[in-house]
Amino acid sequence: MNPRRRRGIRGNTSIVESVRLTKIYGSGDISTVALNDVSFEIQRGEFVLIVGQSGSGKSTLLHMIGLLDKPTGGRILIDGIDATFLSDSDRSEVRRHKIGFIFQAFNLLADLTVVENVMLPMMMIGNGASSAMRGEAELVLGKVGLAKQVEKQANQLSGGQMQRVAVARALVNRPALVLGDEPTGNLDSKSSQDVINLMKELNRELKQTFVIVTHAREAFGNVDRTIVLKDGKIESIE
Amino acid sequence: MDYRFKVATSMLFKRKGSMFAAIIAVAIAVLVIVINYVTFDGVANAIIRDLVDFRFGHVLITDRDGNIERPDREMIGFLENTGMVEGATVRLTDSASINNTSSAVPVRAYGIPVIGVLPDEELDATRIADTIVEGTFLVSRHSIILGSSVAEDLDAGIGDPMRLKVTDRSGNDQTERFTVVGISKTAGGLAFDTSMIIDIETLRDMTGRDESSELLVRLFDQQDSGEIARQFSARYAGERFKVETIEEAGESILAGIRSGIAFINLVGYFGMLSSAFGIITIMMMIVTSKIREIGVMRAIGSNKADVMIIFVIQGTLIGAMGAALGFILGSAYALYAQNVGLSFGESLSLAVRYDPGFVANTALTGLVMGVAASLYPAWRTTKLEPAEATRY
Repeated sequence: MNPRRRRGIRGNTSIVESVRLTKIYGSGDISTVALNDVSFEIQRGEFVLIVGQSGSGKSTLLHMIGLLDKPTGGRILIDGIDATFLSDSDRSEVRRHKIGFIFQAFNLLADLTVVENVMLPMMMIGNGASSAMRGEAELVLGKVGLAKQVEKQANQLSGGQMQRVAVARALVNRPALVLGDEPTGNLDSKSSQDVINLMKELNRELKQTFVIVTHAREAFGNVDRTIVLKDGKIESIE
Repeated sequence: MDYRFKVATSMLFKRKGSMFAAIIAVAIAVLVIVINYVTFDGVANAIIRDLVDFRFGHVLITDRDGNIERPDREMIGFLENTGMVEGATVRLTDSASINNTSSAVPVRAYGIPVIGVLPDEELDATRIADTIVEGTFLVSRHSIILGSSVAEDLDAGIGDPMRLKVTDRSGNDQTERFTVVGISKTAGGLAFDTSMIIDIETLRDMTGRDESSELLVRLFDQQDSGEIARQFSARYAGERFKVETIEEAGESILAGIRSGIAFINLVGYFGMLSSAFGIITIMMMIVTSKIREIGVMRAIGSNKADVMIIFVIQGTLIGAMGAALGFILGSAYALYAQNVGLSFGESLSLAVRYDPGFVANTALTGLVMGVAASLYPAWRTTKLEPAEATRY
C-alpha cells in the first residue's frame, strides 16, 4: 500500500481520528480495560498533550495512534486512512511515511552515529542519494542545535542531546504526525525545557502535529489542546 | 547503502567478540571437515598408490579357473605393444616353510606366502625395488628377499642361508637353499612385509607348476585402464581371464576405507551442526540485547521482514567471513599435507591431493550454515511487539 495514494481521505483536516477506541489486555477474569470507548479528533498542525495519572491509558492510547498496537474495538484513522485493520506491513508503511516517534528513553541506535540515527528514517523510505540524505539530516541536526555532534556515537551524548537527536530523527521525514511518549521524562528541568521549547518551535515553524504524552503538563505551558484520561476514558478535553 | 545492511553491519562490528567467536565457529567447522577429508582421502589414495605399486598394478589379470597357463612372454609382449603399458609382469604365489640355517638352533617359520617374480619385468611393472630397506633386489635364481616381519621372526639378516620347503603339484616336499639378499618393508605393511620373494622360475621348478597366479600391468596413464582391459579381453576372448582395474581389484579394501571416510565426514558435519548451534546462541544473544532497538526500528517504519533481513544479513556476513577463513585455513592444511607427504608415526605417507573444489564446497556449506543459523533468531524478532519492545 502506498499511504500517499490511499483513498478515503475525508474532507476535513483531521490527522488523527479515534472512534470509540477500546483496548482490553488479557481475557476473561484477568482482563484489564486500558482504553474504554475513547473518541476524539486531532487537527493538522495542533500541539496536543495527553495527560492523566499512571495507568490511565495514556501510553496505550499513544501506541494506538502510532499504530504500534491494535485496538480491541473501535477504529483509528491516521490522515484519513483507516488503520484499524491494516496488515502489519501496511501499518509499518504508514508509520514510515506519516509518523515520527520520540521516546522517553531516547531509544537511539547505539551502534550508529548521531547523523546515521537521523538518516535512518530517510534510508527506510529510500528516496534520494546518500549524500542528499546526509545533508538533510545535518540540516535538521543544525535546527536542534547539534550541528557539531553529527559524527559522535549516539551513546556519547548527554541525555538532553540524545533527546534532541531523537527529535531530529522524528522530524527528518517531515511526518504529518509526531508522537512523544514522556519525551522529557528522563531529562533534568533545564534540558526538559529546552526540548519542550524546541518541539513547540518546530510545531510553529513546520506546522507538524505534535501529540505528547506527559506527566509534566505545566512545563509545556500553553498548548492547543489537552486530553485528560482517567481509567481508560476521556475525562475532559481542554 | 541499504539501511538494513548498514544497521546489520553496525550491530555486528560493534560486537567484535561475539562476531569473531561466530566466525571462528564456522571456520573451525570448515577446517575440521577439510582435515578429515584430506587425511582420510590421503589414506585412501595412499592405499591405492601402494596397491598399484606393489600388489595389483593398474590392471590385474587372473584366471577365473585357477592359474594362468599362457606363456609369460606372449601376454607381456601383447600388452607392451599397445603403447599404453609402462611395464607388465607375472607372479606365482604359493606358501612355504622356511628355516634359517645360520643359527646353531635352526629357526623355522611355516605357511609363509612366497612370491615368485620375473626380476627384470618386476622392476618395470612395480615399485618393488622401493620396498628394499636393506640389501638388494634378486640377483640370482637362489637369492631370496624376506619381508621384514619374516626376517624378524627368523632372526635373519643379509647373507644368511635359508632352506625353503614347498609342496609340489604331486604332493611331495621340495627343498632348496637360498641366500638372503634383501629385506622388504613398507610403511603400512601393504607390500611384502609378511612374505618372501624369489625368482619365479625357481618357484616353478620347485612346485612343478609352469604357470602364473596373476599378471600385473602398469600403465603410463591410469586413465587407460579401461581401454587396456577391453583390448586384453578382446585379444583373449575365448579364455577365462578376469581383467580388473585397480578400483575393482582393490574394491574390498577400498570399500572399507571409503565407508570410514563417509563416517568421519558425517562426524565432521555433526561438528558443523554444533557450530551452527553456537552461531544461533550468539545471534540470539545479539537479538536479546537489541530488543529495544528492534522496537525502535519497527516504530519508525521497519516491517517484520526488514528486521528479519537485518539478522539474516548478519548471519550471511558471519557465514561468509567464517567460510573465507575456513577456506584459507583448509587450503593451507591441504597444501601443507600434500607437499610434505604427511604421515603419522610408522604409517604410510598420505597421498594428499589438494582439491580446491572440495574445500570451496565445504566453505560454501559453512556459508549456508551461517545463513541457516540466523533464520531462527531472525524469525524470533518477528514475534516482538513494537510497543513492548520499545519499553524493554
